[in-house]
Amino acid sequence: MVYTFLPNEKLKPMNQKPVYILGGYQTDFARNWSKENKHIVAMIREVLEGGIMETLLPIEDINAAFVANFAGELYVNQGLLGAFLVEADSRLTGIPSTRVEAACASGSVAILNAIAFIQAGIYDVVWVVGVEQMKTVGGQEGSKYLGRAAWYEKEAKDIDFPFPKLFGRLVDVYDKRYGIETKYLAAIAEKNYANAKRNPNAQTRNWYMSFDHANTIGEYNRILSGKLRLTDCSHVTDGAVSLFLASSDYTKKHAKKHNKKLESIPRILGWGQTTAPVEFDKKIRESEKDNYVLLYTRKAILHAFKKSGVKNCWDLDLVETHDCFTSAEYMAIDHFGLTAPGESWKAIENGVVNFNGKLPFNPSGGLIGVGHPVGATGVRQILDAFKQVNNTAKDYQIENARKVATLNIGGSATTNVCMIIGK
Amino acid sequence: MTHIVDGKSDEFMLPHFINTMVELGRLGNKTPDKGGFYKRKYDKSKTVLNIKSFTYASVSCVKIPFVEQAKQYIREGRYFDAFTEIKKSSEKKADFIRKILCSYVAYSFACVGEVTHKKYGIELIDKAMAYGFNWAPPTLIMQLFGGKKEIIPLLKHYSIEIPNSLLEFSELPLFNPRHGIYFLAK
Repeated sequence: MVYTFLPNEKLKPMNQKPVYILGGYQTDFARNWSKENKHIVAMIREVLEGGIMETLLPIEDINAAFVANFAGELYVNQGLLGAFLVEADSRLTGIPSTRVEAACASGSVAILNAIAFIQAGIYDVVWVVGVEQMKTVGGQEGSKYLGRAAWYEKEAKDIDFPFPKLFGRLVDVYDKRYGIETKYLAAIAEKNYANAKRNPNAQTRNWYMSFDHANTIGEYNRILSGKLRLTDCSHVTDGAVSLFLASSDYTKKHAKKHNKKLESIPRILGWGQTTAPVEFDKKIRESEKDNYVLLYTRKAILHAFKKSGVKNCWDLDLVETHDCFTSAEYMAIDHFGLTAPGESWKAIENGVVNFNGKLPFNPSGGLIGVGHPVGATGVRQILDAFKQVNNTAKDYQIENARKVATLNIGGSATTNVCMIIGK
Repeated sequence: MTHIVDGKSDEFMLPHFINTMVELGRLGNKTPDKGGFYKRKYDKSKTVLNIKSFTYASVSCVKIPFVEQAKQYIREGRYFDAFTEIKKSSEKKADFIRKILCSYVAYSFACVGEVTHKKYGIELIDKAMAYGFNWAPPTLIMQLFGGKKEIIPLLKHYSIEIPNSLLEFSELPLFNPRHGIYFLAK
């Protein structure tokens, strides 16, 4: 088995200062904020108020803020979103606030920025917001906007639904190298819709889905690209999520004030971030001699494992992974190492990734079940990881969850961020 | 209407102009040639019924400053500010809105012990209004008006009977940010 990157890299377990997660808040992803005629600042305001209520954090203690957003200029005709964080509450006026963009990985990259500032000792408390209001336009127009997350001129211009096509080609690559049966993709869709029914913030919690529906091609489940069907896709979602990260010193005081032990508060144990060539074909050409299809995704996962002292995937209790399409989750299963490369189907067939399986994938419902407001997704994944480790995920709580991995990818797995959350 | 047992039965009666509309055969979409609340002209332009004269007039887009400001606040998620606009406006239209909302709060509290068991207090009425009708829960309206201390004088001002359950009500829950869903900026 070939591991392209690891032998030459010097990776050590993370010895930087710990960064704690104090909590956060997610909007109901089933909402259509455009129908309510709401401005994006209303979403930001709600996640600030909700997050403050959840964490009992004095708003004056926030030192800085980051907002993750992919395409506010296109969807809502609004740039300079960093400034809108301050608009959410006048008490924040004056703090540094920054917008971060990395397509679907914007949320994770914003969190990494916050972590860097906390570890550098510059800030004690950083507020991270992920927000995207996508229902302002129809599906066709929205898919053109999303095409900006690929190499637009080469991969998306004048192409209908470019991203289903790119992730449809991921299925083709698996098919060519290892063979793939689409019933396993349907099983992923069925699982994530079923998990979402436990999640009160999930967009699809009241939708109907069955394996038969997901595995049937027809009037109600047409092919979008290659082998990908409508039910293999995540949805257009309006949503925002907030997260409050803090230094060790601040968290100690916060814990004492609320009669908690520092050890009981979840923290970020480690992460990996990689950037692959933008073009999908180039990624695939580079991986032709490797066992893994998306080398840089695998690399991000291994980096996160190494930095957080995770030996392998079986050290984890669950994974919140990027399933913008079922093919992305199929890829994540072998890239996390649950199976040998190309054999993700075994973990699906054996129920390993099911809610009650040995290593559940997306107990929240993932992007397919919860929804995928592009800029907010990475923050949502970390908030769900926090809830699991904090034992506050309620109906979608995985028993005794102590260590959770997230995988958030931007573009066609161009920006890859894997994080490990634990105590 | 006699089969309805409700303290507000009289208010459920159809206003006279509806009866007149029915007599005139102005049944809306069922009678497009005669119209209803609205009527399309031959050029498809829309006209609206004047309920005093029963004639149709061109639809004019009326912009009421305090309503526009409240809508803008709602659009930005500033729900308390939106209600402050409604509270402070001296316009007759604002008075009408305040009275309707106060009546809603009083009516809801009056239902405690009748529609739901008294031991559940206003909580179940809140749920019935929110999940059953998709309306803002009555305690949310009360909260946005400034709580019990502000709504009771308003009820007195509008000569609306104050239910005992409201007088006995002691605590308002914290404002739930998710409740913004009940307010549309249009």
